[in-house]
Amino acid sequence: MPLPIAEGGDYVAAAYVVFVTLVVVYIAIIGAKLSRIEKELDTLNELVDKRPE
Amino acid sequence: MTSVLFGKRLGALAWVTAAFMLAAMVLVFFYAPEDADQGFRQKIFYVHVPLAIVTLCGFVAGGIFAIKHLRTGERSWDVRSYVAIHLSIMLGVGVLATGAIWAKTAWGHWWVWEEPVLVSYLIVFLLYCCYQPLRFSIADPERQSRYASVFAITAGAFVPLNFVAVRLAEQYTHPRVLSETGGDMPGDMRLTFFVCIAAVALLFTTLWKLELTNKHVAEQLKRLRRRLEAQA
Amino acid sequence: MIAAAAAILRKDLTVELRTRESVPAMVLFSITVFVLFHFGLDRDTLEGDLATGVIWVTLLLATVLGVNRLYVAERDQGGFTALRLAPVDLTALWLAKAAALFLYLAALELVALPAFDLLLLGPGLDGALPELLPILLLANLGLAAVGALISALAIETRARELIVSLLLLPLVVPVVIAAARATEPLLAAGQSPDDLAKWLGFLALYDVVFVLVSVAVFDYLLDD
Repeated sequence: MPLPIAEGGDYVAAAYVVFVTLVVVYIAIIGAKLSRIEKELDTLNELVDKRPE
Repeated sequence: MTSVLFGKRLGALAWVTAAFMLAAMVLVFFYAPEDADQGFRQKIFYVHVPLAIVTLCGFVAGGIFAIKHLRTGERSWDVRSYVAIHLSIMLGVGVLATGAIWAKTAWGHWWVWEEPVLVSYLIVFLLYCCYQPLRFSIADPERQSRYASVFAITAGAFVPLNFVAVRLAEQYTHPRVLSETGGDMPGDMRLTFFVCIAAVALLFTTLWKLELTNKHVAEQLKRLRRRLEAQA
Repeated sequence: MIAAAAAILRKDLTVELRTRESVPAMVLFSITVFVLFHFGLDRDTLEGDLATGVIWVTLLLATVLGVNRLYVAERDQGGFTALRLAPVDLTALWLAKAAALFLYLAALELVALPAFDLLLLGPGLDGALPELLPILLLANLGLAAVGALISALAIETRARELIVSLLLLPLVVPVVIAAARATEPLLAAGQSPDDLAKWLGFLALYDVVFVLVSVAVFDYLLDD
């Protein structure tokens, strides 16, 4: 039985929450990768600094 | 892959995406009229259907990039294909989840076979779930890219066929619920729909470019490190 | 290329006739599955949609068995390398394997369908036969084309047999849909098929698409 109109709101909210969560999770994954890149770049810079010129 | 820059105009794209998403949300909640039959819960369509359309296009795009990869042999096309498919799978989870939520509100169950789009999508999703395991079970990187491209092309050709088959199968037994909001949509609903589809498509493209740039940077960094360590 | 494909096909059929590996296994498997369904569904006879479901799912699972074994000989005995060295279009291999699979399926159905008729089917098969044949023909064609492609894709990966089932089954869902919907009125007592043409048309479309796709991409699987 389809829900009465008044109770639809919760489910609509749930659907949008799912959508936003997925996008944010994706951003978090990219963010984690980015911070790893930053650390790597740091070590590389140190490597170059330590080289006898 | 050195001559290809993936991050070009990523910033501008992201701003346009933000504008469209804002416009879409405003239209959905303040402009689009409430559906006479289904009431407020029809609003779920504005996130479920655009997500489904965009991810299906993402799968097909993955196949097209794969064709270019096999024809030119350039790895950049393979990466584009991989990210498109991988992103579509992730958002595909959202399609199934929002579809289930909508099914619960419309039919009372979390899953119904009466919705041909949802059923067709599940089959496509199950197929593409094998993409990453297949890729990572092949050690040699060149062969991995080639086999992944073959899969992407085969699966990409499969998507429209599967959709047609499921539609044909359900046609006579169950009327298409989506057609209520499909064919005879009032003008303001239709506008809202198109803006939502555009917004999700832009979001997909932005995230796709974002991941591509990220991957490229990581790989360039690895190259740089190897060269530095070789000289040290 | 046709000559090369014919040669490979002849080799495969000779091996199969001598070792009797694939087809008897597929037949035995099908009959066992019929028995399983008898107990699982707790039925003595089936008709209509239940019968359709049982026969097509059984045929499909037996196909997976056949697909798994398609390239094993080439892999174990260096057939791939030999073909790459020969001045032959690599697609000949796909053509030969697809043709072999088609023949195996035909042989399977020759035995499995009468067995099904005997064991589980309520209304007889005889009236349905003329309509059943084109359905089987087109469905087998699609299964053979996709099966030969996917088998080659999976042969070099680690979890070979698993990958085949996971990849093949979703890809052939449209074939099952069309074949089952077309067969359903044939297996129900006293019904005539109304939209047979539609389903046959769709099967033909599926076959064309996947034959084209397979021919286009198969080379890239063997290039090294």
